[in-house]
Amino acid sequence: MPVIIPNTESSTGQTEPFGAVYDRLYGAIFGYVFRRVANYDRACDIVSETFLKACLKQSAFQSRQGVPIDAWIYRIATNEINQFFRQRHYEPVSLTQLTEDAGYDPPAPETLEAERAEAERQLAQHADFLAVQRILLTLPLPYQAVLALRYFEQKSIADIALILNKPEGTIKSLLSRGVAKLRQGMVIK
Amino acid sequence: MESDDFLHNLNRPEVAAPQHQQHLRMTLLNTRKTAALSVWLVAVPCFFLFCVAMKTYFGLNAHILDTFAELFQSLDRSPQGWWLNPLLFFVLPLLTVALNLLALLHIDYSRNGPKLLFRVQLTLKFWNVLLLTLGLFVVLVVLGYLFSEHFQQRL
Repeated sequence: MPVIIPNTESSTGQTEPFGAVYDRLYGAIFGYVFRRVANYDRACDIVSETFLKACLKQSAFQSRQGVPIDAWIYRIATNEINQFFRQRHYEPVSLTQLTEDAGYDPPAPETLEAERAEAERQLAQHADFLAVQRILLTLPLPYQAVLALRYFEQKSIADIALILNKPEGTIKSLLSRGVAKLRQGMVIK
Repeated sequence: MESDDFLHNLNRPEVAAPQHQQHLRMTLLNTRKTAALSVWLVAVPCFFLFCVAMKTYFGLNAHILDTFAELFQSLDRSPQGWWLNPLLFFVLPLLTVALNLLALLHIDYSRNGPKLLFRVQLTLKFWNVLLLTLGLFVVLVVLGYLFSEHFQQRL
């Protein structure tokens, strides 16, 4: 079946169908969101919302020259994660709208049981990571995003600056203060 | 920095969610397909009817209108292309009506003891409603034309 959704310009400057962008980035974005929220179901909701927003707002992306699509989708994911942590009951707006308007039927929880169990097993096997992730959650959101992108996702300072739309100097300063706060948290623990 | 090294060497969980990825992919790439596809299904008959209306009611004699009409007349006479007009002017608009009706209608049913409960939900989405109306209009105009031609011949 042909992809009707318009093409987008990739980080290499080449036109790429949205389906290809989705296939290329889904794994990385899911990993990023899962490592931030440490919950399979919440990660599924946030990732769905991220890609749905990216798909619906492609015209906005095409007018933002100089921002690679990878950074733009990471930015949407980061904003969604921030919303998730700010709101007591996170509600993926576009996903809810899609369910109401287009009759979208989310996958039944039991069909994803094997994936959920594997994700939880992975988390349980990484006690050090989980300890750091829990301390990270106690820090303000700007520090959380910068530290997670740097140490969980191994992104460069320049990439983080693009994703968060902040100058590199600000990222370096957030990182340095964030690491200090994290160290403080680890000592207290 | 000790913490910095520790963080750099942190062993992170690697997760994959291929089932969720596949499910979401289908949804994302199908969301606006019905409306987008329908535009192409009714574009030619709508343009043709527009041309005919312009010529009949407003007396507009543009060259493009005649060329368009001649093209369809020649297709109708051609032994290889006879099927194209019924397809363009009847089957595809009818398909548009069916596709958009399916996109707008949601029917659920549940069993409550001996009773079978049906719930019919109609969602009003501008593009689907517009395309459904256009498709229906084309089908009705073509049917009206066929009936009038048929009775005219008899008289």
